[in-house]
Amino acid sequence: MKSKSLSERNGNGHSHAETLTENPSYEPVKTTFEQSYMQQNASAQLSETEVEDVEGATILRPGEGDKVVSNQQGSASFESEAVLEETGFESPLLESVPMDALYASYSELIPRLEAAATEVIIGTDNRVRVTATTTYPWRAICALKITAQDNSKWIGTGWLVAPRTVMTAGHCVFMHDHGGWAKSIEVIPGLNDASRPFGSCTSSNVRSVTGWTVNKNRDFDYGAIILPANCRPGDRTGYFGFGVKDDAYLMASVLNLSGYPGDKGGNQQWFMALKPKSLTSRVITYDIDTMGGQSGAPVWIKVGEVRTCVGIHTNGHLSGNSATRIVTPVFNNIQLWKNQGL
Amino acid sequence: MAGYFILSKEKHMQTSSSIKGIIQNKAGRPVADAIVMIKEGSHEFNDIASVSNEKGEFFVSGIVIPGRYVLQIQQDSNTVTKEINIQSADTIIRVNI
Repeated sequence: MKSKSLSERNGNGHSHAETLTENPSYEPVKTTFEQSYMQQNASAQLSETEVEDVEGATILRPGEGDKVVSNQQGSASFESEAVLEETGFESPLLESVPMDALYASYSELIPRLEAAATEVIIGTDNRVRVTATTTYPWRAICALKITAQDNSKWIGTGWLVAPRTVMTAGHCVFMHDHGGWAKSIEVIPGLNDASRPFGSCTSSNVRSVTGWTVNKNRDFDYGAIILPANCRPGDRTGYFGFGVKDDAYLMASVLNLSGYPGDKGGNQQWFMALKPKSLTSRVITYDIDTMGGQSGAPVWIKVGEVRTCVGIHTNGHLSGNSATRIVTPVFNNIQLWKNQGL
Repeated sequence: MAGYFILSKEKHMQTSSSIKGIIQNKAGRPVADAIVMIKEGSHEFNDIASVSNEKGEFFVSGIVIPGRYVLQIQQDSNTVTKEINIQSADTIIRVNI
């Protein structure tokens, strides 16, 4: 596990998020997307300035990294209103049982949870197993069983943002060294050992952006899975909200991360929370412990009962694990993909 | 300016690639359905895990080469860690479990 010593941690169990307020008067901005943009067209739109040749990479113009690409044929223009925050949906189904299960699982943590008003686990035991995977928000987190084009098998994590849309890392849907677009991905919401409380769905309908598929740029490592029309787990599980938060807000917030790590077998959900360590314009870095299999996991903040995903976990490193940050272009694409999975 | 080009060139000499590996048991038979992931690395790496196939083959994807990494292999209750120093994308990692 990419664990850090306790003295290195910057979380303290207290959230300042409550002191910051949302801005409901935010004026929506009209944004147009070229959904029909195809990956192979990217090379024809090189920068006009001279650039170093880098084998295997195509340089995109600034702002092109978030152009949507898909493994599906067809084209369509798209216009949407961009807002800074999209609310989640907490399905009322199954709500009564889960709280008992949650308290059974987290009994020693409840006072701290209540005090911090967030899903915080801070202490020497860094990750905590989530057994109450039939409760929200845990049930909106999905184990991914990925088959690449070359038939290699992988495990990752995703999270529902709509009845049929699962967000994840770009490298879970497009694998540069294994044939590109994933051949198929089985999505299992709330997987808990052998228990699949919401069944599973398999899809080969995936999305990402050129910044990842063409440039392999870590800043653009995000993607989505659109589930088949007859498979709508989000109706039962609910789904996450997502939003764009500024640096000050993020640095003052506790980040929650939960996913399906391979060192636990890939069939159990494990959770941890801490404040961020650092930010860039596109990446959130933290000392939350993760392991292979948690790529694509949601990184969210919780204020009251409002949960807002602010990042998509993608990378590990001794100096800090990290997520692709949800900034406005990422937000717009998630919203686009959400609309495709309603 | 010259410094920029030197740094840029050094950075470009590092390549991100996928490495193949093979897991065998003590009898020399391939081990399927083992989960292989990176535990630590000299470079940032993707937090995805590979699952070995019936030939015991797995992959470590999206790693910077050259680089040093510690792999963790999970197979049921068995856990094995292996440090690897990858100099070439042609390297094949062999793991006994």
